Amino acid sequence: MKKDSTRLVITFVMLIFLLVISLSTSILYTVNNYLESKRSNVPVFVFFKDNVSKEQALLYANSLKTHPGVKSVKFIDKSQALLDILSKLNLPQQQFSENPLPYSLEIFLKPQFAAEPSNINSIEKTFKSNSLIDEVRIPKGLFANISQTTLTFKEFSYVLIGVFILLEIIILALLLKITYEHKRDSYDKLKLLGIKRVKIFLMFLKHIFLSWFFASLLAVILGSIIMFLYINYINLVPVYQNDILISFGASGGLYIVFSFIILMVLSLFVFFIEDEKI
Amino acid sequence: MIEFVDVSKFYKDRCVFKDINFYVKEGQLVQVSGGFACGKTTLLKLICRLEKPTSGDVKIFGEPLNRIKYSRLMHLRRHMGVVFDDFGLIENLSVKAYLYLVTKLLKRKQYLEEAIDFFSLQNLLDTKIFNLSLSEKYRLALARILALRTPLVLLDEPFSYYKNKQELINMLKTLNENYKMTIIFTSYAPIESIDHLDIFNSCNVGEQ
Repeated sequence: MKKDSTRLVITFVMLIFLLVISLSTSILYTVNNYLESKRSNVPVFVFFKDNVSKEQALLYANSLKTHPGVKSVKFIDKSQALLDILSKLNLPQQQFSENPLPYSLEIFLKPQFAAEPSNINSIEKTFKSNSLIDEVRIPKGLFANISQTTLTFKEFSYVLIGVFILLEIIILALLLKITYEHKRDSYDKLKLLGIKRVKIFLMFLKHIFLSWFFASLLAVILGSIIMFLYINYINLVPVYQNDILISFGASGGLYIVFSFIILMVLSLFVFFIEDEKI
Repeated sequence: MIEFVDVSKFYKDRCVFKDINFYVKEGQLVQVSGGFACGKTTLLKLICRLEKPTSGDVKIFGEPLNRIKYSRLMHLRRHMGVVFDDFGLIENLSVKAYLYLVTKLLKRKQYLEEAIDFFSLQNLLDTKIFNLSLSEKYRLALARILALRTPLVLLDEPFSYYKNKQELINMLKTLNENYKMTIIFTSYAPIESIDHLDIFNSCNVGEQ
C-alpha cells in the first residue's frame, strides 16, 4: 500500500510560500520606507526678502507648520547662517560690517505629499505668492528622481509578490488535483454507500485544512526563530528593526489568512471539476 | 423490491441481456449464477445504477432508476449494501477506523458493536485493511452491511473470496432470515438450496 504523502507536500509548499512571501514583503516594505524617508530628507529652502524682520519670518514659519504637506520647518537666523558660512570658508567674522544674508527657512515635506509633482508646484506657488518671500529653492529633479525610483520599486514589489502568489496558486491547484486523484477511489466507494457529495467534500476539505493548519503553525514558529536570529545576531539595519519586525508579522498573518482563502476556493474548484456523479 | 421491465443491455454490439423481466420480492435470498462474462456483475451494477440499461426500466423500492435524480439515487443507495470485487473498502484505514467512518457518515453507529461481534472482527480492529486476507476483507464488507442495516444486499461472487462456502451460505441465510435483508448474490456454480434467477441466454431467444 502506497503511503499518501500529498498532505505532507502541500504542508511543505504552503510553509515555504508563507515564509518566502512574508520575508519578501518585509524586505520590500522596509526598502520602500527607506526610499520614503529619503524623500522627506530633501530640504526646500525659502529665503525672505531683506526687509523682512525676524518676527515676521518666525510668524510665517509657524504658520507653515499647519500646512498639510509640511513635515517640519527649521528657521535659519541670518546671523547664524553668516557664522556658519564664515566658519566653513575659514574667514574672519569682522570682514562683513553688515550681514548680507536674509532670514531663511529649511522646510521638509511629508513623503506622500512630495511624491506628487503637482504638489511640489503648488507649494512653490504658495511660497512665491507671499509678499515676504524673495526666493524659493526646490530640488525638483531630486524629488522627481526619488518619486520615480519609489514608484518603480513599488511596481516591482507588487509584481514580485503577485508572481509568488500566482506560483503558489498554480502549485497548490496541481497538488490539490493530485490529492483528489489519490482519494478518488475512496470517495467513489463512499458514494456507492450513498454518502452525499457534500459530506465527501467536507472530508476532502478537512484533509486539506489540516495541511494549512500545520503549515501556518510551522510558519509562525519558524518565522519567530528567523526574526529572533536576525535581530540578535545579524541586524543589518538597526534603524529599521521595528519596521522589519512589524511588517514581517503583519504580512505573515495576512498571508496565513489569504492562503486559507486560496486553499478553500481551490479545493472547491478542484472538487467540482474532478468529482463525478457515479 | 427489485423489478426489471424489458431491460436490455448492450456493450456496443455485444448483447448481455435482451428484454429481461423479473421481480425480486422483499426478504428473498436469490442467486444469479452463470459462466464467465455472462453479465452477472452487470446485472448487479444495473440495480445500484453504476451502469444504465440500454433500454427498459429498472425499479428499486418501486422507484424507476432511468430518470432518477442523483440526490435521490444517493438516498436509495443508503438502503443498499453492495460488495463488488474490491469490497468497497478504504484500504489505508484500519478496520475500526473504516467501520467508524462509514457508520458515522451514515449516522448508524448503534449496530456497530453487534456487527463486529457477528463477524468476529474483534481481533482485527486495529489491523490496516490492506493487511487483511480476502476472506477477512469479505467479512468486514459484510459487517459494514450489517452495521448499516441495509434492507437490500448485492454481493458479487462472494464464494470467490470466502473459502468456507458453507459458512458463508449460513451467514447469508442468517442475514436474510434474522435481519430481514433481501439478498442477491452472483456465483459461478449454482447452489442447490437457494432460489435461482435465470436471466441469461436472453440474447439468443429471438434468434432461436
